[in-house]
Amino acid sequence: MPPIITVNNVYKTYRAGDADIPVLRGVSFDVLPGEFVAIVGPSGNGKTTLLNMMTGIDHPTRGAVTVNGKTLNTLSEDQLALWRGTDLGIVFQFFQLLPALSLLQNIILPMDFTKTLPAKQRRERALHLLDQVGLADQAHKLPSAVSGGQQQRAAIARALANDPPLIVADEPTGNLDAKTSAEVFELFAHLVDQGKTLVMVTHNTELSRQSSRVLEVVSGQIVRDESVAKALA
Amino acid sequence: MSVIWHKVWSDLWHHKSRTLLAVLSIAAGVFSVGAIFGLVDQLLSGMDAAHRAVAPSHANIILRNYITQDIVDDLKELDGVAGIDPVNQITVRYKINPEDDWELGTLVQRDYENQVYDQQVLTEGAWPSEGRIAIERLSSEYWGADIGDSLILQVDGEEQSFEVGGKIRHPFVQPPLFGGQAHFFTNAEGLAEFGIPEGLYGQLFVRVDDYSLERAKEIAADIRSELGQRGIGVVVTLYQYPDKHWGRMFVEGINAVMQVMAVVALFLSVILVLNTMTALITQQTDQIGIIKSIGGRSGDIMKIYFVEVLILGLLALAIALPAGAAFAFLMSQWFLNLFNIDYNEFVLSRLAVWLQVGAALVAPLIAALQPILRGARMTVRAAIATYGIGSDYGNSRFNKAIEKLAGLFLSSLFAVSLGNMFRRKGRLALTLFVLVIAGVMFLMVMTLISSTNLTLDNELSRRAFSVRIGLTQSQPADKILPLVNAESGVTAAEMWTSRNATLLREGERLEDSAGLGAQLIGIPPGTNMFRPVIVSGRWLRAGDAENVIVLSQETADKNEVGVGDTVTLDLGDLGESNWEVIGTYRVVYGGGFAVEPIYAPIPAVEDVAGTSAEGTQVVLRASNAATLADATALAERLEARLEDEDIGIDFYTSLVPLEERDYVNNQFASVISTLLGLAMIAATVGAIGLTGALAISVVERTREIGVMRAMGARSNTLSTLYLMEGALQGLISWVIAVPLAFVLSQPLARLLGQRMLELDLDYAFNLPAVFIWLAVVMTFAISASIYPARMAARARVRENLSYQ
Repeated sequence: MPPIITVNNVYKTYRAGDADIPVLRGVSFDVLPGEFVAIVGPSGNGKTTLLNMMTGIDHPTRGAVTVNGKTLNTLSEDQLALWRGTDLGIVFQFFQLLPALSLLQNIILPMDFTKTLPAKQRRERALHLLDQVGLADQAHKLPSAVSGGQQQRAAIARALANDPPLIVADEPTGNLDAKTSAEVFELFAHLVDQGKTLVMVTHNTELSRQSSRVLEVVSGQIVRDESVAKALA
Repeated sequence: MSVIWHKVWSDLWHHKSRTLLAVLSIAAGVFSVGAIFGLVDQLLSGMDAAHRAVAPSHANIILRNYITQDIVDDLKELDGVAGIDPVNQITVRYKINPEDDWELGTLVQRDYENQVYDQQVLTEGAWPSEGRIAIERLSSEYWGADIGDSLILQVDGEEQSFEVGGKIRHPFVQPPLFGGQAHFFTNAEGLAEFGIPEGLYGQLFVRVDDYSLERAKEIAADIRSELGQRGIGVVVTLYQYPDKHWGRMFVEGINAVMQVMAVVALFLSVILVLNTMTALITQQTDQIGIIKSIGGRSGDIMKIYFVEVLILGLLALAIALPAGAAFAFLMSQWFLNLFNIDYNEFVLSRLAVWLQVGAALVAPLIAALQPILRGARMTVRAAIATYGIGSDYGNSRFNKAIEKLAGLFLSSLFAVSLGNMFRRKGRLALTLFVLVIAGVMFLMVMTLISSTNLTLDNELSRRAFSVRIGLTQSQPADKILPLVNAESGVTAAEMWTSRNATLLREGERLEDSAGLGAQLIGIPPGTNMFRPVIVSGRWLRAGDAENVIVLSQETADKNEVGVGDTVTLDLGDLGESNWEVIGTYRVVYGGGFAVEPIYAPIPAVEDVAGTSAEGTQVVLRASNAATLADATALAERLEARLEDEDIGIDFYTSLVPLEERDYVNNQFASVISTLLGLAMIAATVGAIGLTGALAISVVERTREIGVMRAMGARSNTLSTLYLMEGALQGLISWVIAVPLAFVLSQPLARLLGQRMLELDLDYAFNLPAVFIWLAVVMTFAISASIYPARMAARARVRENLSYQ
């Protein structure tokens, strides 16, 4: 089975003032379809940067990232935007729902951009997704009117709007309590069971054990790449 | 409604203050455009339409003697004469109340039922009849005399009471506010009581066939010649354009200035839109990132924000279009009413509407282009990244210098405010630009006012006489001067002599620059009563006795006449004679109701006229005429004294300089208040801009505010920080505006003086205005900072630190 993500010898350097700061240093790995990958490691060691390479949000200084057969650094910003809309769902730490739109409208929005479904079906699908994440009764509320856990579940529903094969999440439980974090993980596990590929940056060691594979990033390098069973051994 | 449009609506609706700020910013500029261009459009067209509606005569011939209807009928038969309306206008003395002093007014009589030219219109009550007179409606308003009131007129030296039976609109009266006399109307029987028998006329309204100004002058010359053969003299012939109202010159001068100001106001509002859209994009940077991360492309982003701008423009148009049209109409109505023109039917200026639509829809789109494109091009990473605090503060030498300076001289709070101000130099420059423009406009208008006042004061000081009284007939000096010198307070008096004159060069008539034609005025050379500002050549001096003249610079310019040239003066029954131009003088008081003086030594004028020691004007200085009231009272006493001796007074050439100064002030007041109003609009636009700029900086520094809160900063401290930043910007704009205005206002005052008043103003920079503007701009700046300061003060630590 060909990998859904190929990260090939990726370097990333940021410039701060007069100095170059290397963040990723020759990172390479593949992710297979259906894997649930947790990227762990200390803060400021390049986890989010690595995730951004996989979403096209950031580009490698050197090396290449291929997702679902597309080499991301060859795509323009608009091509990347469209690709993200159809092939990728992103879940952020701070949920990042548009505050002026209801939960339902937030989920319809990606479908409006990509127009993969006829207009009438978008609303039905959005309601279905909200139902899936247990928020059917909150559909018309603004993000500010629901809890952080509910916002994150709505954000997950939004990530699924266009039924992408790949979901990436950056610290999805970083702003949630333990109970709500467990619920979100349960949701992720369910998605993986349905055949989605999931890559997640997390600090939560306990929850990372529920993934199928752990990549540990330290000083911009993968220092550990193990299946969970092996990691626990 | 698709979700994208819902977001557009929601952005506007859920941020009402910001939406209101943006709408008001655009509306301010659009309003200025509509108001000013609408005003300009309506004023001129309204004036001209009113002028055409009264069938204006082409020439108005004022006779020295009265003529019968038969002579009028004979004149009508002359070639080129299309028609003649004979009328009478005589000077009378009147009182509104028995205890008042006598005033000079004009009594009009004509065949009201069959009037053809310069039509007078009954606006209220009845036409004059036996025992009842009518009053000109502006006179009625200004002096408070209404229908049913009684007025006292002097008839044959006695007081006689007349009831006011009607109000009439006379299309060609100088507004009382600008120095015009009261006008009354009577019928032929009524006029007979004033010594003019029924059937005699002293004035002719003439229309010619195939009108052109030259043709009107030719036909008028034929009429004068025909009258001359019958021994009838002409005092003056006035010409008017049948399509152009005489009040145009008051309006045309300020039109260009107002249009420039409208464009400046629009430009300032475009800057505000730029600031507001930058604020919007800055506030929504994270949302742009999210939209792009879920499939939104640059085109989607652009669509969202361009539609928002379009809606803002439409909302602004909805406010500014009716407001601008109403303002333009009401201002036009006010202005036209000043000129005795009814303007009651609401007119929407098409030009103004189209300009407003363009200004409301296109200008904001252009202004928003840069921030929207910046937002659309922003990468997801840039949009959602958290850079921490202070990463936008540069390490340039300038920033370091500011930091060092602030550290050395200022408290930490002031230092933070100063540093914050320079974080976004582009935005700071735009905000300062708006405030500086407003300041420069204000200081320039104030300098224009002080320069105008200085010019008028200088001119007044050159008229070293208290009163000048014009006489209808030339009178011997030994008859007039003893009468005048007998009046208490008179310290010096001398006779001047005047003759109606037409300037000719090689047989061609030259153009004069005053509405009532030119007059050759013989004055004692070396007189200390009057000395105008000499622009070129020299003034008359003791010993001058040759045919030399000093012309107005305006007339010299119009006809390309220079010092050393010889021109011919047609002095009517005295024939033509040649005169050498030895100098040109500056005209300060002039216009449609003025006579243009051509000064010459009195011996030369007497030589041409064959007279000696007589004159048509008596000029005097008095010790009891320092105030306007005293000077006017003295003039009235002298006029009464002369009239008691059966000496006729010519009100056209009578003059109290202080009174004239007052009328000129009134004429300038409307122009100056318009300019001040526009400067205030600019200042308001500047204040709105400052509010927007500071509100953006609150949004941009949300995290920083959170950190400061976490470190113990209280609400007062945070709001003070923003108030100080606003005040600092106001102060800096003032520091820049003052020298800039100082440098720019001299050439601009000269230009404005030329365009609006057609004269070179004496320059006086208005120093008090510098401090007035400091107070205004600081008040505006601090007021503008209150909203952002409150925004900052309301911030909570958790919200701000979690903000992304």
